[in-house]
Amino acid sequence: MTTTLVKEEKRTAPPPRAARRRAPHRVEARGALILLSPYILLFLVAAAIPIGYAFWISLQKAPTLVNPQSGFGGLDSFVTVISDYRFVDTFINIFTVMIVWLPLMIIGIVGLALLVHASPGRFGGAMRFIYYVPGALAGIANFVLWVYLLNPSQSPIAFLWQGAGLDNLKEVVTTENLPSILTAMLFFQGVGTWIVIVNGGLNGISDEIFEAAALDGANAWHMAWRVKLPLIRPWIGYAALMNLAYGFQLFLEPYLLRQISAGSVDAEWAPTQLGYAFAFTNRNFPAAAAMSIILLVITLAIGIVIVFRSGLFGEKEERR
Amino acid sequence: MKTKRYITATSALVAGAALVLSGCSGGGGGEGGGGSTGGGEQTDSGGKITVWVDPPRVPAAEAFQEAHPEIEIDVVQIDGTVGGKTVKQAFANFDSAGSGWPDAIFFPSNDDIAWATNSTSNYAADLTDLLPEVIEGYDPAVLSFCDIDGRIRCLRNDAAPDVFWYNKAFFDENGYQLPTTWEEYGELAVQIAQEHPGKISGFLGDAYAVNRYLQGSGCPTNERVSESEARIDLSDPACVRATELLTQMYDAGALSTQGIFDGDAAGTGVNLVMSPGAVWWGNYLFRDTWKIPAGQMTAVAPLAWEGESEPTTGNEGGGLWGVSSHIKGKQLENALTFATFVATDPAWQVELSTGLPGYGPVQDAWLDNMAAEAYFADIPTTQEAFKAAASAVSPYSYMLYDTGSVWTETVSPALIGGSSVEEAITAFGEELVNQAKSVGYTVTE
Amino acid sequence: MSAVEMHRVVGSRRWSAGRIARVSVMLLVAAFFVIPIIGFIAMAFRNQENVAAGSDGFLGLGGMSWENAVYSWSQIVGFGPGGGGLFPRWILNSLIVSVVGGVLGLVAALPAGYALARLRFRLRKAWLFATLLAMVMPNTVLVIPLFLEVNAIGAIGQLWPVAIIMGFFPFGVYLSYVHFMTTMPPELVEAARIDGLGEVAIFLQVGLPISKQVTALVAFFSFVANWTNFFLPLALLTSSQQNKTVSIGIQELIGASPLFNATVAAGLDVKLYMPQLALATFISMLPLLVVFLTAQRFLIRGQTVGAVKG
Repeated sequence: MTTTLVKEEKRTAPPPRAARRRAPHRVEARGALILLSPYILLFLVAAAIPIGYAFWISLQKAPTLVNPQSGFGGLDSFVTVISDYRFVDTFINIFTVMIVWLPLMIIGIVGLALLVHASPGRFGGAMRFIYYVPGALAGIANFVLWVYLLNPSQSPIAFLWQGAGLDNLKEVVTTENLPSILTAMLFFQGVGTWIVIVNGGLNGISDEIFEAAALDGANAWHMAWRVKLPLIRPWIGYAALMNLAYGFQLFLEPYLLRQISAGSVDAEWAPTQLGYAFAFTNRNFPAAAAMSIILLVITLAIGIVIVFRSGLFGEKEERR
Repeated sequence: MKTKRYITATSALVAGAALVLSGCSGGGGGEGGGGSTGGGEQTDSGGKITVWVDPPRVPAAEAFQEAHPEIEIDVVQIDGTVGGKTVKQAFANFDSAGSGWPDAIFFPSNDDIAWATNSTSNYAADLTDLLPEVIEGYDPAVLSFCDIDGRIRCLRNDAAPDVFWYNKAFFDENGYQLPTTWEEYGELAVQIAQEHPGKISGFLGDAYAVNRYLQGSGCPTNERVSESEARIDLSDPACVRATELLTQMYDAGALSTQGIFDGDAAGTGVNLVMSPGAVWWGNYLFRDTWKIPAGQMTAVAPLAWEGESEPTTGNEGGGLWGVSSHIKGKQLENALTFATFVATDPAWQVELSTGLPGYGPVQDAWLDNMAAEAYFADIPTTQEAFKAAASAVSPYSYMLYDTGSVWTETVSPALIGGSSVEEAITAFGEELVNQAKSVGYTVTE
Repeated sequence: MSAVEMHRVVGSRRWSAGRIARVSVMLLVAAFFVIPIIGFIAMAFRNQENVAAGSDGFLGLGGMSWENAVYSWSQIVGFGPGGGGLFPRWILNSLIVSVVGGVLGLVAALPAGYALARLRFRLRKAWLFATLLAMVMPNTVLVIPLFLEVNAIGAIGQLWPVAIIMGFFPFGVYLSYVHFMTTMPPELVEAARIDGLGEVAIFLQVGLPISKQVTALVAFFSFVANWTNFFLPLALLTSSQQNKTVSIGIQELIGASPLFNATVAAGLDVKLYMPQLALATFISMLPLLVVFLTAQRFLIRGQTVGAVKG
C-alpha cells in the first residue's frame, strides 16, 4: 500500500538491527501492555467476547416460540440456518447486486480517479470534492435522498420512471428492481471516497515515472491506460475486495426499502436481514448466532485476503 | 509459515476470551437463548403504569390522562407499521431480560397476539376473570380473535368486519343491480369494467386483501390446530372458489394491484365502484384519505357464496389492547382501568376513534355520530350492515407467521410482473407454508 | 506534478478534443452527484402542497422559503407522545454516543497505535493483525453477537453499551499506528529512554504532543462512523423510544409518514411528508458538516491514509 505517509516512512526507517530483536525488555513489554490495555479491553468487549459468545449460543438448542425447550444442540442451529428456505436466496440476492455493482464501481472509481488525476489545479480539486460529497451522506441520509429520487410523483428524474412505465413508488421499488436500485444507491454513496483514495495513490506515485513516459511521447490517453492503470492495479484489487466484503453486510438499504414499498419487497432479502429475522421474528437466538458466525467466517476470509494481499500488513512489517 | 502463526495467535485470543466469558456467565446462556418463560415474579410499582400505543392511539392515552389524572402514567408512542418488527424485537428483549414490559399495549399488528399469548412469551394477561363485565359487553364474534384456547387474552379496540361497499350514485346512474352473492359480484365487476373502463371493483395489493377475499371465502390460511400446529391448505374448495373469482375479475381489468394504503392509491380509489371492505373504510379511506364526495359511498350486508344461506366475510384489522401478565396489585389495577377505559369509554370510543367500537354498548352512540355526519348515501342500511356484519366473519386465527406480509411480498409483485392470479396465489400458499415451518409450526393440509 | 508533464499533458491552454471530452465527462458526472443533493436540500425548504402539485420549477428551487422550513420543523418537533420533542432528544442521544464513543476510541487508539508502532512485545504482530482484520471487516456482521452479549447483561435499550461498543475503533488504531511509524523515529524513543523516561511517560510526554493531527483524524472518522451507524442502535435501542439515536429515529419518522404508511399517519397530529423528512435528514447531517469543516485541513492527508476504510 503506497501512501505518502508510508513513503516518508521509507526515509525514516532505521536499518534493521538484529541484536535488538532478540530480547525485548520486560519493561518495554509492560509499558506496551499498559498502553494497549484500554484498546484490549474494548477489543474484548466489542469483538472477541461477542464472537465467542455467539459461537457458544449457536451451539445451543433453539428454544423457539413453539417449542421452548433448550439445551445443548450441537450444530443443529447451523443446519436450521442453512436449510432455511431463504438462506440460499439471500446470498443469490446479494450476488445479483454485486454482479452489477462491483464492475460499475471499479470502472467508476478508476475512470474518475484517472480523469481527476489528469486535471490538476482547481478544476480537478473541485471535481474531486464534488464526487466526495455524497459519501458524507452515509446511511440513512443517503436513503432518504433516494426515497426522494425514486418516487415518480416528485423526483427530479421522474421522467426516467415514467418512461419505463412506472407510475408510483410501489412499481419502482419491487424485488426485481432491487439490484438496480441498490447499485445506484451504493454507487452514489461509495464511489467518491474511493476516488479520493485512488487519487491519493496516484499522487503518491513518483513523478519521474510520468516524466519518463512523457518524454517517450505518451499522450494523455497512453499515460492513463499504459502507465497509470498498471500502477494502480493493487488499489483496484483492494477496492474490489473491500466492496465485496461490504456487500455481505448490506442491511439498512433493503431493510428500509421494504418499509417504503408497502411490504412488497421481501423482508428477508439479505443475509443480515435473515439473521435479524431469526433473532426477532422467530426468536431463535441460536440460529441468529449461527447466521452471524457464517457471515463472520465469509467476511473474515475476505478480510484475511485483503490484509495480506494488499500489503497492509506484510510490506510495512518487513521494513520495520 | 508466519502467516499461519498470526492466525493461530488471533484465534487463540478469541477462543481465550470465549473461555473467560463462558466461565463467568455460567448458566446465563439459557437466558440469552431466550429460554426463560414469561412466568417469573409479578411486580407492583405501587401504581405508576407505562403504556405503549401506536400513533393513531395516542389520543386514546391522552383522553385517559384527562379522565384519570390520579393515575400516574407514562405514554410511549411505538412504531405502528403493520408487519413491522420493532415491537416484536422489543418484546424478545424484555422476555429474555425478564423485565421492561409495558403494562398495557395497543398491538400494532393483530398477529402480535400470537406471540404475546404463546407460552414462551406469555405476555398478555388472561382477562377472563379480571374484566368479566367488560368482556360481557362484547359480541363474542367480535372478541373471537382474543379467545385463545377458551381464555380472553385481549380487548378489541374496534370491530372491523367487512361489509359490502358500493358507490350508490354510480349504481343509480347506470341502473346496475346490487349483487347479493360473491358470484354476482364477480360477474358485475366484469360487466362494469367492460362498460366503464377504468372503474374498478377491488384492491389486491394490501395485506388485508387476504382477509377480504380468502378469509371471506373461508379459505384455511390461518387455522390454529394447536399451539404448535397450523393448517394451511390453498387447495381447499373455499380457496379455489376465491381464486377463480379473483381470476375472473382481474383478467377483466376490474381489480387494482395497488393496496388501499399505498400513498398514491387515492387516484385509483375514486374509481372504486364496489368492493367488500371493512367498516372503517367509510370514514378512514373514502372520506378522509381518498376524499370521495359525500352522498356516494354506502354499505350493505356482506355477500353470501352461491348455494349458502348465510353470508361469509373477512375481517380487516380492528386493533387489540393487551395487559401485562407480569404485574400485580395497584399497578395491575391501574393497567386494567386503562384497558377498560380505552376499550369502552365513549370519550375515546365515540368521540375520537375512527373505527366502529368493538364494545357493544357504545356502538349505537358511535353510529348516531355517523348519522349526524351524513356522509354515506344510505345511512340506515349502512348502520344496519355495520352492526350485523360481525357475526358473518369466517373463523381466522392470528398466527406467528405474518400472513399479510407474505401476501404483499408475493401476490402484488407477481401480478405487477405479469403472472396470473392463480400463479400468484399458489406462490403465496407456498411461501406461507415455508414461513409457518420456519417459525416452528407443524403444517397440516 | 512535474513541469514536463504539465506542459505536455494538461498544461495546454488550447481546447483540444480530448480536453473537451474529459472536462465534459467530469462535469456530467458532477451533475449526477450534485443535482439530486441540491433538489433534496431544496425539498427541505418547500411545502407539501407545491410538492404534490409538482410546481416550484426546476428542482423545486422556486418554492423554497424559510417559513416552510419553520413549519416543517414544528411538525418534526411535534412528533411523539405528549407534545412531541422526540427528535431533539434523538439528536442529543446521537451526540452522546458519538462523542463518548469517539473519546473512548481516541483514548484507546493513540496509546495502542504507539505501542504497536514503537514498542516490542510478544503478540505484537498478532494484535496488529487482529486490528487490521477488524478494520477491514464490515461492522454489521458483529451486530447480532453484540446484541446477544448486551442482552445477556440486561442492558438493552440503554445508551452506554452503544457508546462503549462504538469506542472500539480499529481504524483509529491503524491511523495512529501509521502516524507513530512515520513521525516518531525509534531513535527518538531510544533517546527518551536514555533520559530516564518510562515507557508510558515517553508516550505521554514525547508521543502525545506531536499527535494533534492524528487526534483530529481519529476523532473525525470515529464521530462520522458513530453518527451514521444504523444497525447497532437498531438492534440495541429499538425497545426504548427515548433512547433512540437519530439514524433509527429517522426510520421511525419514515414509518409515520403518510407517504408510506397511511394508517399510522392518519392518527398523528403532525404530518410528515417529503419536505419534513428531507428537513429532518438535513438537520441530522448538520453535526457532520460542522465536524467536517472543523477537521477539513487534516483530511486531505487523512484520506490518503484513509485508504483502508472504504
